[in-house]
Amino acid sequence: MNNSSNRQTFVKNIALVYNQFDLDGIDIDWEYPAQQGDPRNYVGVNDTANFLEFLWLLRAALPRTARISAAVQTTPFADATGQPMKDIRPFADVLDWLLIMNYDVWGGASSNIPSFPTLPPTRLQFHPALGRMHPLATPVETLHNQRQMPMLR
Amino acid sequence: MAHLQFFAQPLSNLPDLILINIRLLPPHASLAFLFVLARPGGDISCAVIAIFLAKSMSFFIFCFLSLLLSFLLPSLSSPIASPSVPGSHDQASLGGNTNAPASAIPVLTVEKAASAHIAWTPSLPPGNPLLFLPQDPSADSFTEPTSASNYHDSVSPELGSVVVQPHITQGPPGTTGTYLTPLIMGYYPVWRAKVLPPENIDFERVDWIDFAFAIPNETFGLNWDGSDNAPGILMRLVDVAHQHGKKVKLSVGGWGGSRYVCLRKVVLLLL
Repeated sequence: MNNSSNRQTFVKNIALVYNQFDLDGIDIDWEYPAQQGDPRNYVGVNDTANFLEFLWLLRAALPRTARISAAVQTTPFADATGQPMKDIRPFADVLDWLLIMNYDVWGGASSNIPSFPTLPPTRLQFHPALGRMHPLATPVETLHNQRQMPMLR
Repeated sequence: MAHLQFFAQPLSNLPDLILINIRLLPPHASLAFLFVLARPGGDISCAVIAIFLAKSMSFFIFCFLSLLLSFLLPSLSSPIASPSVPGSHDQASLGGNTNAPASAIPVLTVEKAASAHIAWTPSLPPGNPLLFLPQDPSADSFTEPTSASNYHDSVSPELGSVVVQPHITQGPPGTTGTYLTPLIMGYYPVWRAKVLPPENIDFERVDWIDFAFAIPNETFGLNWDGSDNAPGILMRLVDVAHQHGKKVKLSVGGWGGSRYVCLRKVVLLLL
């Protein structure tokens, strides 16, 4: 989504799938804008700004009832300097909610999530992350806790 | 213009990476490379074409064509949504999600998580506050590493995770802040569909399900992660969720699926 044309193509394709499958929303799990996730990922310094443009395009392309969310680390998206952005209100305006990925701060496994009940409290637990997001994210109050729990009967 | 026809085919048909021997380039080609690359919103593959053309034409024609191409290329590659394309081997090898070991199932957390779930049941009456957020939670002034990437491995972390989402309600008069009551959301990783078919999900426990994942490809179409049957499973999931009055989102990306979110595949030419 590094330029307007690509963003429009991306949005158009997502909207096609949205309608084809009778979905209720779209979650963008970009790991990560302006930060390296998987070593094979392409990363750009303007990713976060482009992401915001993309989200507004997506909002316009989907029905009004569609919910749009984004996955974030325990810190806000990185800005063009590589640091967590100071003001995420622009994202709060366009997103319905954020998903804090504090379950994989240390990598995916069965027992190492920061909020794992038997672990001692750490600074990477959920609440500090919520504290970082919340004062920045009104009016769309974001996020809540997450625990690993299979959805089994 | 045979070169142009070569590049008009979808970028996915081109090699992933070809090396350029810079020393063989005429000086103005190197300059032009930088010029096109530095263009706002510049696409690296445009610059590569520019170099290719530069070898056999005058500088001015080259400049004109490279500018033209830099605007034309996005339409040349004509991305198409490919939701019906079943599972991509490329994606499977990217994320390792399909190969997530059985030990990734958080079996050990089931008991505790299940008891924790009771406190977060979504059937609470609306307006019954579960969490109060002060407007200035400055007590949580932690400093953390700005990137968590060093902590990741290739094992899928999403399996069975559950997120409690807020409904927003006004706090009582005289308070500043917001009371939240939860929505409960779970990712549904399609590569575990054999363990938990959509029809077996207990929809009493969730409000929203995020189907994981649709993966952007190099032309900003969408592939499916993890299962050849992903489209069919998603249809079943949406059907059964709607029957229970619950909602389904499609999650786009993921740890192994964020390769092309930022940029189209880079294509470099051997000259």
